[in-house]
Amino acid sequence: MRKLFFLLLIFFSLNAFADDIPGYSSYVNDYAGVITEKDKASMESVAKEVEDKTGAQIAVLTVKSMAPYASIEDFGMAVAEKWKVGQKDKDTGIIIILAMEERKVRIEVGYGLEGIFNDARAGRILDNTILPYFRGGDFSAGLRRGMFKIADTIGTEMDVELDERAKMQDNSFTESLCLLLFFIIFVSIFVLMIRRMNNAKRTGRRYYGSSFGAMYPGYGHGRGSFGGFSSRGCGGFGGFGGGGFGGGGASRGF
Amino acid sequence: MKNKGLITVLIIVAVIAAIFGWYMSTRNKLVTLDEQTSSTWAEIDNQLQRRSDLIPNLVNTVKGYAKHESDVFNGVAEARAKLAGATTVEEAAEGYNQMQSALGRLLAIAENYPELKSNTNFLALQDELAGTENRISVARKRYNDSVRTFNTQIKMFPSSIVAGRLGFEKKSYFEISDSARAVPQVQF
Repeated sequence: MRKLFFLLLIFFSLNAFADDIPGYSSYVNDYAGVITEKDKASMESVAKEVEDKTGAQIAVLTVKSMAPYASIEDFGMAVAEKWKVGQKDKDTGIIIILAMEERKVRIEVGYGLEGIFNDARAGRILDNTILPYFRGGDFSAGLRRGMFKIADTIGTEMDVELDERAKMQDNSFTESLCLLLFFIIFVSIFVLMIRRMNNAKRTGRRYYGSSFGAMYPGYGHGRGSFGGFSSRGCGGFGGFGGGGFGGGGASRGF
Repeated sequence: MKNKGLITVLIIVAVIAAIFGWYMSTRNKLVTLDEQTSSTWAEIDNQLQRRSDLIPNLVNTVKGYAKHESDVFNGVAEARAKLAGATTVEEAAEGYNQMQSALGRLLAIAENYPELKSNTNFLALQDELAGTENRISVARKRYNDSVRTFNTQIKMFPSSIVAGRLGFEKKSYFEISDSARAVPQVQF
């Protein structure tokens, strides 16, 4: 029995090695570690809203390197075929892919969105929205603005009003409100704790740390807890739906 | 005695039914595979057509900046005509390769005209061209995969018997030359 288990384990890990495409845990999958927690959270909520209201799914993937794929187009297609972003019958999926080492970025457009994002439009989003930030070295903002632009375009074209539009401005009011709320709660807990402990400041600070972690599941932890955070914080990510891709979209080097 | 005869008859009927069942299911499988190669080919054809439709627009844009490069324009027109006249997979692949090198030359001249390079219409066309190219390569992979499955099935015994009866023949792959993609990456 134990042997069988180990054999299975070896089999699956070999399988994992044979497969060069990373999996997804949510809409935004930042394997290169270039997206800030704040941007990630707001991108997640925008993607969630777009999916709820239009059925379209927007995914983001960043990787350190796309090796062994020779071109971002091949890599993008492999990701699209594995993740199957978008609804099954409508194929409304779109993926923004960034490969850091190769300095390539691509927007991969599913069949169902080719009408909204023709290749030239995808190229324009890269040129006008994403690349200006990339050239300044701000990958997080570039991806966020790019994704918002895509969300906004889908909303406009499908004639759906998105609440999260407020967030698409640079200063996100909701975000800061949320942070403020957390700050107030945190301060009150902090004060309460100090009172209750009736102790030296050092001890209080230690409690500060642990209560912060408990309140912000996902914050300050590794990538693994992120999926959990998003599903608790943003109402759940149900996985991608089985959308088809035919190679539409645009790519850029930066 | 009577019983034995009945059993024999039943066995013979069962064997015939089994053979017939196998034949029908193999036949259906082969027909499905054949259909698959046709539909994946249709997608290549579709994308080749889409690219051909982009070309006059592209050529006119380039002409606006580089009138005298008539050799290159003629090369593109020739390749386009060849591709349009292609009736077999091999001819289409040949036309594709010729078009590829003609487009490569066309885009290479663009490098010499900075104003053309920054023309928004030209940039948009280049994106469309690159996108179509990528679609062709995706469609090509899917077509070749379906042809591989089909060819293996019709060669393999015992389904080869059914394939022979249906008159199925080996299909050709859509093979393109290994030269670099015609469309250079837009680099900043």
